[in-house]
Amino acid sequence: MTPADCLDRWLAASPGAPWLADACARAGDPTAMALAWGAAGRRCGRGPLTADATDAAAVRPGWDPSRWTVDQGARVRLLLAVPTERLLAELDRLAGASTVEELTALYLALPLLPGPDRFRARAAEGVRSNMLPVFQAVALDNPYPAEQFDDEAWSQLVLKAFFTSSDIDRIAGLDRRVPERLRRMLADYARERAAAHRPVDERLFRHAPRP
Amino acid sequence: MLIDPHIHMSSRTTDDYEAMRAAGVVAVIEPAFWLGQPRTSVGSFTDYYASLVGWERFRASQFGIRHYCTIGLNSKEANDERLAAEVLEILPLWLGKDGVVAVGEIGFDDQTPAEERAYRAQLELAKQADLPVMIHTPHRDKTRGTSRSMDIALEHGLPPSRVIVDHNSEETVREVLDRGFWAAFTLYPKTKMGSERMVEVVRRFGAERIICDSSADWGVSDPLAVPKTARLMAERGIPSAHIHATCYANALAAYGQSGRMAEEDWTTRAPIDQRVLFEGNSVLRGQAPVVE
Repeated sequence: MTPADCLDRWLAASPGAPWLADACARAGDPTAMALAWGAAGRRCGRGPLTADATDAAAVRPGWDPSRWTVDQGARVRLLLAVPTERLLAELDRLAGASTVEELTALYLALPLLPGPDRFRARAAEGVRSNMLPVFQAVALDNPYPAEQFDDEAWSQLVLKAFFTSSDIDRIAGLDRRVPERLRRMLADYARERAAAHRPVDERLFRHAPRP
Repeated sequence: MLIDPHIHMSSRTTDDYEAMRAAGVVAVIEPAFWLGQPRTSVGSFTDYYASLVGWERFRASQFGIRHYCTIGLNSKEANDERLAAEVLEILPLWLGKDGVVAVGEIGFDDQTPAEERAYRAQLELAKQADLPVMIHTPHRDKTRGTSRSMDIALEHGLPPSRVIVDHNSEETVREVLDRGFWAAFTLYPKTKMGSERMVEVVRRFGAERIICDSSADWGVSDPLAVPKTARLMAERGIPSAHIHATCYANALAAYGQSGRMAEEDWTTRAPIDQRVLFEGNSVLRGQAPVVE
């Protein structure tokens, strides 16, 4: 089974399922793909996706779609239908013309796409976003950064997660990967907060010494 | 409740939004058009379309007005053929978005071959995107340009019921209605088609498939043209059903064919909350936020 098979199964109950199957069949055509990318929410719905977490983790270790919505599942499914050699250019094209909802889905897809090392710059762009849902699509419940980011990018991601009060426990791989650089950045951040008499997330001290 | 189905809100102020809301406007449609001077690169179109489906929609919502748009390459800029080709290529990225209710405004300005090519390509896109079409009819040689626009739309297999012909005059309206298209009228103060003339059009032609709009933009124009015309119609004894049709229901029926515009959008809209941000930005400049 592949991630696409899982999504097809979870989305089968959506009223948009026949539309999605047709759109996937035409995902190699830039016009059809562009139109489908915008339409996915209207066609398939925006409620919670009924995903099977066990299947997901079996198909792709670390994949956790338990908080996904139907439109996110549908858009990720569309991306999985794009011919592999066109995928990088297609992600760039779509990202340049996407709403917050669409960008969020694009970043959720990263750990499932073939040739993952091609998408490091794209993922780093997502981490730089000032749109919180977009940042969190890369940072939370997503195995891609821990696997693909270098220490610098990884450290920026974790620090920004603390900075934006995101749920640190949902950063995949943080328990296994705390490079020296990150330890220092977190310690500095804790000192800054303390100096300003502002509270510090206690979970920070699992990864850095108390000031 | 009133709808202004052709108004370029990006060129208007928050005072206009407040006045429109107070006058009963519940929804607007902002067609993509030119900016008073030609753009020089495709990126300018990308950013413009992004603002029509993004920031401007948010801005309208902050004043209790539901904002829709149409996406298209206008006829004037279709004459820059190199740029036009690039713009046609990016249009599908925007035509699929929520709140995009037609391909438009497209059609003729000088009626050149380049304008015709862009127009035909966009009629095909409208079919592929399953969207109605908003036609801009030319200011010069209007009667011929209007007939030609309709001929070409039919040639491409678009049903007239999915095509709104805008900027009509007393000269063009008969043919537009007889051929089954929607006939929209732009109410420019002091020129073309003012409220007085609009009242006479409705008296003479009735209300079926006739639509009033302001086309207000950065030029001399009136964002309250639809409410003012509705009031004048009432004073001049036009039946209220005709006022409702021409200033609200016909626009909803025509653009509602997109499947992306419905009355519930504004009858059940979320309360105004000016504390909300769009990608981190607010409409406020230090004022107390309005919260309904």
